Amino acid sequence: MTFLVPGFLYAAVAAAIAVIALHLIVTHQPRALVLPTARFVPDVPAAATSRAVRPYDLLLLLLRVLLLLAAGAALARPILKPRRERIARVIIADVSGSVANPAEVADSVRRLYRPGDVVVVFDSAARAAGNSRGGSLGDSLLPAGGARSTVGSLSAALTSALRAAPGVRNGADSVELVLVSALAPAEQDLATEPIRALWPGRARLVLVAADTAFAVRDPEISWDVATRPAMAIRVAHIDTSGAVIAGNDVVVSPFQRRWSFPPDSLRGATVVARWVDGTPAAVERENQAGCQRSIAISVDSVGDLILRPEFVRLRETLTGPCRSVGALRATGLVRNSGIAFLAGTGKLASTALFPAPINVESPIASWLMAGALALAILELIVRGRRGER
Amino acid sequence: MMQRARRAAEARAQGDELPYGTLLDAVRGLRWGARRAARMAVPGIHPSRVRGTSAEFTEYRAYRQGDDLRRVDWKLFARSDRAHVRISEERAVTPTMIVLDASASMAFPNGSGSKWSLARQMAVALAAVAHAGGDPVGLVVAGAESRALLPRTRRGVIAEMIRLVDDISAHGRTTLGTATSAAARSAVRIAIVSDFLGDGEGLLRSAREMTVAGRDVYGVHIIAQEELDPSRSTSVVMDPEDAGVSRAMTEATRTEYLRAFAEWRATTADSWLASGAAYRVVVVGQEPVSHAVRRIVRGEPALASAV
Repeated sequence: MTFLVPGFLYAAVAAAIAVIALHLIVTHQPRALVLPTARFVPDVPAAATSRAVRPYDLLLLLLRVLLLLAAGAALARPILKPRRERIARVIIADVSGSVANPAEVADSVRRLYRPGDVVVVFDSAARAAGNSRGGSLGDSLLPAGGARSTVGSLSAALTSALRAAPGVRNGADSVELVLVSALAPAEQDLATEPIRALWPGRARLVLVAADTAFAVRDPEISWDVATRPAMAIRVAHIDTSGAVIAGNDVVVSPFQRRWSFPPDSLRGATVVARWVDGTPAAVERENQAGCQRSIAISVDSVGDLILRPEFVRLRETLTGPCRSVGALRATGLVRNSGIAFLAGTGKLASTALFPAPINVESPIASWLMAGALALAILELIVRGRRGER
Repeated sequence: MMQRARRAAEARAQGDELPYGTLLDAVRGLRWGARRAARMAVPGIHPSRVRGTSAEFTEYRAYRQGDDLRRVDWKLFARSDRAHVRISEERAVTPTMIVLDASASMAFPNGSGSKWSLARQMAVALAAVAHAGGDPVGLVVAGAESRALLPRTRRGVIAEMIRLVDDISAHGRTTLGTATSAAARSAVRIAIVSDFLGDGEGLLRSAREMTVAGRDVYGVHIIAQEELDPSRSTSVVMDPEDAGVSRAMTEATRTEYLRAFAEWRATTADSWLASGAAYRVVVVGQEPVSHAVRRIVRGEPALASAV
């Protein structure tokens, strides 16, 4: 057992020592004697303090000391130290549309999983699937409603893994990051590498098959300056945005913004290009045919914008296949060099490098506080029976 | 009778049975001379102010009108033709009253070593010495229950006194001045055996009045060893005669107590001596009772350690 706030325990021990000392200092009425010449004694208060060799009233002393120690121990937040393993794992499971067979991911996770490990599942968002309660692990690895059409976000998964790592801090000496994913480049973004760098140790990569069928779908593109793009509405006042960003492509030019995507239209859709102020400029959504992409970027017929190399790359990106799948088609399966930063180098991360979890609940503190309360009541009863001291 | 027997049994149980026989043997042969010439005409052993016609001739004095003609020495008148009367030394008795303080303060500490035990022995021994000199002796016990024996010379009066003092326990409060004044009406010599902690001023006033009236007054101050040297342990001391007096006796207050008590004893001694009375201090257990009695009747000074 250890204490999260041991200062309270130290204070309780000090208070208990003080109580024992007070029980050694006895203030009482001295014995009464008859003395006919008592009138010659100066009239001063007839009370005296003396030091006793043994503490008086051992039962009351015992109750008071136990009361203080129990209250101090309860406030010190005791926790039972779990059995420490050498290694605990934070397993990141990819359940996005990039994975060909979710069952393969689930099998890999079950094979890697040990009690005390943490599982983080992700698609476009990430969430913890549980740690020691392995019974719910299989269900949580399945995407909700069976829909797996979204592109996964490794940045979100790594962030969630960083948040989940303190949960295994007290159970192991080292933490291993295990990434079970197809590791499609589309699942990475500019933040992936900096976030990965925050994990202080190497990671184990477990590759699963990518969904190539999903990758070859061509989008149904709606790119029309004059007519309203699908899912978009006309803005009340046309304004100008200085740049548009799509992936790693940035085109700086005074674009007129004639259309906007209302929030309802973004539900279930993926933003593939944004204006420089962050509002969506192009989105894509899965449909029965495969993928529908709506581009609300108006390009004037005058000027050399369409001739500029960055615009050409933007146009190729926006007119290419649906974002993740198009990348897979271009690169094939994952290249080892592209994921080297994900694996990292060096030793496993030490648990000491992760902050202690803030909320550690232990029933011991509650029991100790209840015991202190009972002792306080008992002390009142005993003191009442013996007269106030 | 039953009550007396019960108290005697209690006294035996407490080890408070006093050795009067040994004491009376020890003081036998002592004579308690009067400090002043007695005005009594009853023949006794003490010098008398009355010039009588006893056989012990002293001097002649010229006849003065009013002298008893029977005292005229007619043979001398025949030889010298001048009338003279014979003057002879008279001896008188000194009726003695012992005033014994039986207030609660005398019952300290308990047992045979208490002030009350010493005071009883002193009273009986002084009475025995006076009685042995042919003086009538009486006793006044002043306490919560006051008893008195008028001065008598008959045999057995000492035994009566012993029974009387053994029949009384020291408790309650008393005004010794009143008892002493009453005793003075039937006595020429008054011995007051007390700790003087009660009505000190009233008693001293009575002593002055008696001294002025020509009576022989003795103050026998009984002090317990525990009063001179109280315990050094912290305690609360209470006056047995005044429930309102309850004081803390600590190391600090003890020093002040010793100073105040010594000062009071010195003041009391000075006051009594200034009143013309004989004043003696007797400390419980410091000397045999017979020695204390001898000091008193011979007029020897008090022991230095007692004052």
